[in-house]
Amino acid sequence: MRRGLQNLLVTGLMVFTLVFMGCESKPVSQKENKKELVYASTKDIRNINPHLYGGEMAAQNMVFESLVINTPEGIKPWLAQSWEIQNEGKTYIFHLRKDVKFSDGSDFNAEVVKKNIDAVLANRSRHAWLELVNEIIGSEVVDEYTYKLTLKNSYYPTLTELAMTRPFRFIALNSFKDGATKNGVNSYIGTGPWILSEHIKNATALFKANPSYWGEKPKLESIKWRVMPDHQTILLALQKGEVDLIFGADGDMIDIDAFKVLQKEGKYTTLLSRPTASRAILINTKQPITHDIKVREALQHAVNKQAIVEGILNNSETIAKTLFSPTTPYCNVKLKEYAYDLKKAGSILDKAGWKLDEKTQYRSKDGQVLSLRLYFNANNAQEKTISEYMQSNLKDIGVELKIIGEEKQAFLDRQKSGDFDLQYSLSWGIPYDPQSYISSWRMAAHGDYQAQLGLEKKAWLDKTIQTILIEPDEIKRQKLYDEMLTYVHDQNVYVPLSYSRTKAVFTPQLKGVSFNPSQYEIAFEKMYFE
Amino acid sequence: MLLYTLKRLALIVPLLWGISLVTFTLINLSPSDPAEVSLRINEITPTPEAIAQMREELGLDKPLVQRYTFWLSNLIHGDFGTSYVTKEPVAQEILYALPTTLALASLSLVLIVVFGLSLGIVCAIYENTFIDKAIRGFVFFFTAMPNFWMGLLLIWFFAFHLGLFPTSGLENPSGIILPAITLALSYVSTYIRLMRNTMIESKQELYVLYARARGLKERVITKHIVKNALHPFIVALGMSIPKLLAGTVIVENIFALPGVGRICVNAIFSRDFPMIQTYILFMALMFMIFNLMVDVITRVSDPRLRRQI
Repeated sequence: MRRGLQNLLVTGLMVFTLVFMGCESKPVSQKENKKELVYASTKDIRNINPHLYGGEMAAQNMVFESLVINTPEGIKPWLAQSWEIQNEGKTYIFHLRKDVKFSDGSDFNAEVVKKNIDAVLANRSRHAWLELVNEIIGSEVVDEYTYKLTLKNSYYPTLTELAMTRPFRFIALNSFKDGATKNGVNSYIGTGPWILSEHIKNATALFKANPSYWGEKPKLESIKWRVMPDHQTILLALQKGEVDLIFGADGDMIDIDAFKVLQKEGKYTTLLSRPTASRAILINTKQPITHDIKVREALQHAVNKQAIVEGILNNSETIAKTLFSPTTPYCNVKLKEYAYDLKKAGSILDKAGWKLDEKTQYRSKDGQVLSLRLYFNANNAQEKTISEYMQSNLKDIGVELKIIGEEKQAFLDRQKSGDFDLQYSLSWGIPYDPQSYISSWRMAAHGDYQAQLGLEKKAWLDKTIQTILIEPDEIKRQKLYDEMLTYVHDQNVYVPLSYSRTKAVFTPQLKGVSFNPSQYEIAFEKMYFE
Repeated sequence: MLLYTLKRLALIVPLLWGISLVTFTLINLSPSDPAEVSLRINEITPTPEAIAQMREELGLDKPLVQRYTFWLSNLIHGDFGTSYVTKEPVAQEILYALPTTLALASLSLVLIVVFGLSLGIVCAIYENTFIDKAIRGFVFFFTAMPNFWMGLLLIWFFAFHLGLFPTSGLENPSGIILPAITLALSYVSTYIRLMRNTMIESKQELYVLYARARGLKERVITKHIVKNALHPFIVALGMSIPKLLAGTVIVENIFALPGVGRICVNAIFSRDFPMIQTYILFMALMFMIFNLMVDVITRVSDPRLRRQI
């Protein structure tokens, strides 16, 4: 009996092992000719309708194109080969390329441009964040390859916003559903260098090179977008050679520690973009304690940014002295610097009447303890670590910081309600910074708006932002930016921490990896294997 | 027996109704406004106008009772609603992801049965010997590990180091093996211990003593012991099947499998009420069906239980 069982067990184990051994004799990724790039993303591409916001921007950017594009050197022609700005910046006439076709063979012309822009405008409330949508009052076909856009005001970021990944991109009329796109589309036919040829939800998406692409054709034949929700699995897949590229910002694709390890190992190529978005702590000027500008000033001196950038962010980001990096358009403004100085922070609080209680080691005034609440997204490990570090920073000056991690939606609900002393803030990066980001400060749904409500000149601030956006004169506009940014900086509404950077990790055989100005786009068309 | 089964089947309807009422009410008590969340998920600024428009679109502008009756009547007609996030029918989304989860749970179940049963029997036969202790120690060690860590270790060793499997995904069918092992490992020890303990207890039963006195062969006696120890095994296993189906989320995340678990967790994070409600109802139904199946099987196989009806 026992011998029989033993035999059974051994045989069972052998069969099991043999079945396993036979399962995969060669790694999936051993591509014969390396014409396919495998990109790992934690998110599925979802619905890539370019006029809506449900899909991954990097995927939308692969298939759909815009009239003009944002480059580090400024706006450049794309589907429009040239344009004229008339009527003091209120009229834009675009001369379209004549050699562009959609991947289904249909023509790209002024009629298509008009119908696409009209489809976006038919859904104005969905695009409220984008001021350009509110500014457009006329959309006309001049001739087959000339299109005219008329605006209410001379809205200066017009070309920048037309170049954004969404919503002003062009989808073939055959893809429209009942003459519109707001309720979905029939297919994803664009003019871009890639065609979405297969999509298995939450698993993979296959983009094939567009053979009839009007521009420089991609060197790769296809891009496989693999959805892998777990960062560690992505790293193991990269090491095994199943994945060629990891790309992303703000720890959403690759965490900073892993990035540093891979960088040190030297087996993979690692790249960091120029500073893109601003990471800061938002101080609510409407809350009882933080309403006092002196308390806000003390906080500026109490946070050790260098330690955060070196110790927590592993030097993958740069220290921020001002809310926007000086490389952001219109933001190279001379502003006073706040050095990390605990003594100074302490003395500011002393002068403001917040006296240190030797027993508790916390400050208080009129019986009220100097206690603040900092909320962060509980799923973001990095924010948690920074919060904990700031807690110890503030304790050094006698400020009690309660740190509360919340599930993302609850965190965003709180942002809207304004029920916070301190909260994390991350701008959207170039090309959205500064104009779209400051434009959002005027909307009640944003934490920035709520945090600024206690400012004496909040109404002036909102009005100035509105004026900036429609000021046609460059010099006057810069002057307004100077005033606005100086006011916000001097009022200590933000404790700037760092400027985030987009990160890329890839196999050494992959060449041509670069960063588009927008952190949300990936220039797959420039990549190739050597 | 047939009457018993029919009675139990009929009970499923009021139970499901109760569950639907409780889940609908509880989910709607959530402090976040799904209209706002739906806008945010689609990266649209939740301005008051946009929120109002979305509330109307999702039918959230109507009173709770009206919404519940509307949802329930649709449910009866086989319409489970439309996802707030993807705008696709919920049933279609779940059915799309279900085969992956079913494949994962089925293979795990096979592993649990094969290893739970065989190792449990071995442990009972070799009670307190080195083999018994080694198996139990080994299993205890692996079960104590959290799912996600175990999964990553398996990927690291079998996929990365030995190159036997893909690290993740289902492009290659063998991609299901590592996740199934990960999922099964946390259950296997329970079944080994259950089988072992029940068999050891059965060894003390009088029928074993009589069988020995009658001079029956050890192999035959063991067969009887195993047969008697199978009942608690089947009962526990029956309840583990829905648990297996519901507990795949971590494994699905680690191994990048497009299953139901991931859909459900995404739905929770994005307050996709129709999706969450359908998922809960589906899982409740699974628990009830498997509970019933186990009861019927044990009654069929054990005459003593049949007499109690």
